[in-house]
Amino acid sequence: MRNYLIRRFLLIIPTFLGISLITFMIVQMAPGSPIYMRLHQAGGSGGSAITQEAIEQTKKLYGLDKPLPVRYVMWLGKLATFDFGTSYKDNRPVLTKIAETIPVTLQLNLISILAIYLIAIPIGVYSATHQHTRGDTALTLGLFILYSLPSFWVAMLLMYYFCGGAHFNWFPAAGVSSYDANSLGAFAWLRDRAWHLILPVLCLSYNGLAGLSRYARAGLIETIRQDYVRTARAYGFSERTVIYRYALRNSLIPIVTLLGGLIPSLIGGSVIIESIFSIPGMGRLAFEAILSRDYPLIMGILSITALLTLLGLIVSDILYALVDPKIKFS
Amino acid sequence: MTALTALSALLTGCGGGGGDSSGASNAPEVLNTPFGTVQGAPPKAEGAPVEGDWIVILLEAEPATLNPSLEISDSYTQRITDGYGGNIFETMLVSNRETQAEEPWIAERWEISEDKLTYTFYLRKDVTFSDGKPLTAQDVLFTYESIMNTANLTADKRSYLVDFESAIALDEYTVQFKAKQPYFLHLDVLGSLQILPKHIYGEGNFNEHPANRAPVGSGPYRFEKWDTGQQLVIAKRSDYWGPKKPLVNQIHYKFITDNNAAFQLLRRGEVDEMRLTPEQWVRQASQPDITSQYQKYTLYSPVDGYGSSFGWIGWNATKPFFSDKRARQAMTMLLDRDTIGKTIYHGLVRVVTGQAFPDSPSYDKTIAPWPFDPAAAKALLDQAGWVDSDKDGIRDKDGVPFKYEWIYPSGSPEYEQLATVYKEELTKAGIDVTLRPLEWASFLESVNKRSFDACSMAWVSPMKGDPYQIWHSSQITNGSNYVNFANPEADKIIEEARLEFDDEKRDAMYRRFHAILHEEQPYTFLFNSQRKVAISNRFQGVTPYALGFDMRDWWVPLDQQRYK
Repeated sequence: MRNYLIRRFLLIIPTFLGISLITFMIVQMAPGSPIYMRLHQAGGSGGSAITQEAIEQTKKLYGLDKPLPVRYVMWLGKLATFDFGTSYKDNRPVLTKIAETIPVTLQLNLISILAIYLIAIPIGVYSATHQHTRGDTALTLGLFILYSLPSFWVAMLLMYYFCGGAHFNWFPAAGVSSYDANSLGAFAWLRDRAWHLILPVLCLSYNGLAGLSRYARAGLIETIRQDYVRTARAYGFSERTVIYRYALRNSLIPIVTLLGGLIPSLIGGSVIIESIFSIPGMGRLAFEAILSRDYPLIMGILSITALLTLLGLIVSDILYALVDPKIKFS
Repeated sequence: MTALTALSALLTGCGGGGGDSSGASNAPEVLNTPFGTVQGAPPKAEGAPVEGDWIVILLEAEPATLNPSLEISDSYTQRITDGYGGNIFETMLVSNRETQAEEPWIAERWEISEDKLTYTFYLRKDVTFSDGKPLTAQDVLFTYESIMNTANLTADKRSYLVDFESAIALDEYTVQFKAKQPYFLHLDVLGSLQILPKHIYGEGNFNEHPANRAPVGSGPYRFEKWDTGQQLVIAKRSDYWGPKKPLVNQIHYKFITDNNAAFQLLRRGEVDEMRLTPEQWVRQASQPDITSQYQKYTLYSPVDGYGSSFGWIGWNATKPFFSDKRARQAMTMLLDRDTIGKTIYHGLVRVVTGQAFPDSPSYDKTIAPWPFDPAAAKALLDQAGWVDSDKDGIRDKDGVPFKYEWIYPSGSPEYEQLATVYKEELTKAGIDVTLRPLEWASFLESVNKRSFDACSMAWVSPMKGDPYQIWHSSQITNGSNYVNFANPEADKIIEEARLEFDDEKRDAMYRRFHAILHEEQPYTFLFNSQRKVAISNRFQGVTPYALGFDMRDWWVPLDQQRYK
């Protein structure tokens, strides 16, 4: 087990190098240049009156006058000291900007994952044990509809109807906390935060909920048909015991492994939701960085997301062993 | 400042929400002022102006920095630091809101030498920064020198100052600039430098200085706090030196990037000032929940680059289709600008015919836009040799079919609609156009590399501008003359106007230049959009001027003040 983990962790290094090399090249070879963006500030003062000389000077200050491979090696060299450089947008360190935004995004996504699992599994169990009943059919239909609703559209509808104006003034329309949140006590702060997160979490989770509950249902139905479940029934255990003690645990194995794959898709999904709800999170930061060709910031965010994904995969493998004693690492 | 600037898409999208259109029936009465219209003006409050309350302003994006010298500073930086006559930083001269003449501010007087090469500014002695230190000639010099320093990311500001060879302090409160050659905008450029305190910014890395996010300036407001991604707060100084002190205690800028969320905040009364899109203006903003809380203003004023921008379609003159001016005129006459302005832009725009700001004396108001006239356009195309000789429905000349690609920045629903309408008309005239909306960064690259047939953008035209960067033939290779416009008479006018210090004479030259542009049609000029603003109706004294609003006029009666 220990050796296996060490090997897995060491494998992160070459995988990460590969990922970073490919993304670095794609990002920097994509059309559009941060210099032009900079010198054509939308609506700013003075954009176009720029000389070729100024372009060259700016390029040099950013090191963009060097060939691509050299730039990559320089980037790696700085990375070794955990230096991601400074953002082109506002000259602030990339790490500071990520550190500011990542707690919000993690909060949003961890709560969403938790919500998805807590709701999806009971739904799946209900559907599996009440297979082909009216309740199951209604749930299936409902989840199918949910699964097909695009989250940006749902977000806008929710905002229109539940964030004041002509309709219900129940939730805030923007941000993760009130502007005076810092002066609140711990409990009031928590309540304020929860109040702000309800709609974004709803938008982030309903989609995954639909998918995961179907997996839970299918897994359980398959397990119920297994011989050992029949054996348990033959022994005269109650249906409750059979399902919850024997069948459920085994049926959860594939669901646990889905966790690793959920992390990147949730970070991706929160790009849109963060933009709509004006949440200062990493998703929105990434979106803006890509639009403005802010190379150091894009690379910083992609590296950290890649690392999180790789770690997520290891975690889900470990969980796999925890729920299924048959699996041994060697 | 004094240059023309690129805008991305003119307007941001406004989809979603919708809302019932029934509210439009009880339209409030419209009040015309010399510089714009007001809807729903509040009853005049009794008594003299009083201090107190905050203004909550909604910004569509967060500024990158609060250091106006850096090239990463943007229009949001300007709105916060410069505001009107300076919120945080101040300038040596200011433009009079109404007459637009240069007036003393930090400089109590100035002298320009006979040869127009030496500029001497005599500074007031009572100006202090918000940390109590006095503002002296050293601070003005420092501001100039930090922009000229090539280690600093100030390239775009530097390009305005390259004509200066030296700057010296004659004494503690007198500073003198020497230029290498005369230029009519020198005084404006120097007079509009936002003065940074040397004792704060002078040490450490200018580009990454901590004060870039926590500035110290001499303006009426001091920096209070910046919650990244959320809001920025500035508060009134009690020790401000200036002649006209603001009455509102604090200004809160809230960053709300999503247009629908922003509008919800407006509905809830959580913001006091917000710019509206045409769609919002026409459909949503006339509903009672808005009209009961806000006054709505429309202005064409050339302030912070919003009201004065105009869109255009540029025809690349190196392409065979657009090398002949008759073909370019035909392209303009195939676009029904009047109808598009009325329908797609809800009549909140006006058609422009030249490069200057339409209300400035450099703009020739007697020039009528080319009419929408497909028959005349077809005749011009025939004359230019573009006829459908192979009967495939598309005009051709010398074996080249009239097939071109039109690039424009994606994400603006108005442009998409305009493009679709236009394409239909072009097809009827035997022209095949491919619409290619591009994401902003890719678009800029194509434009800068001149790899396009036709392209669309918007320029911001100030009251007093210089067309050199965009229209002089020397700017074809490296400047902003993307469409390869070269006209000897235009070149001569542009060059001579730079040395003409008499405003009236120069304006007359620019009106002649306008006529050349109209005749040559290197662009099909589109629209100048109004600036549309909603302002909470608890504010008194809100007056639109030729140069926009002056927030130091604004005040709230005691019984209506909302924030302490």
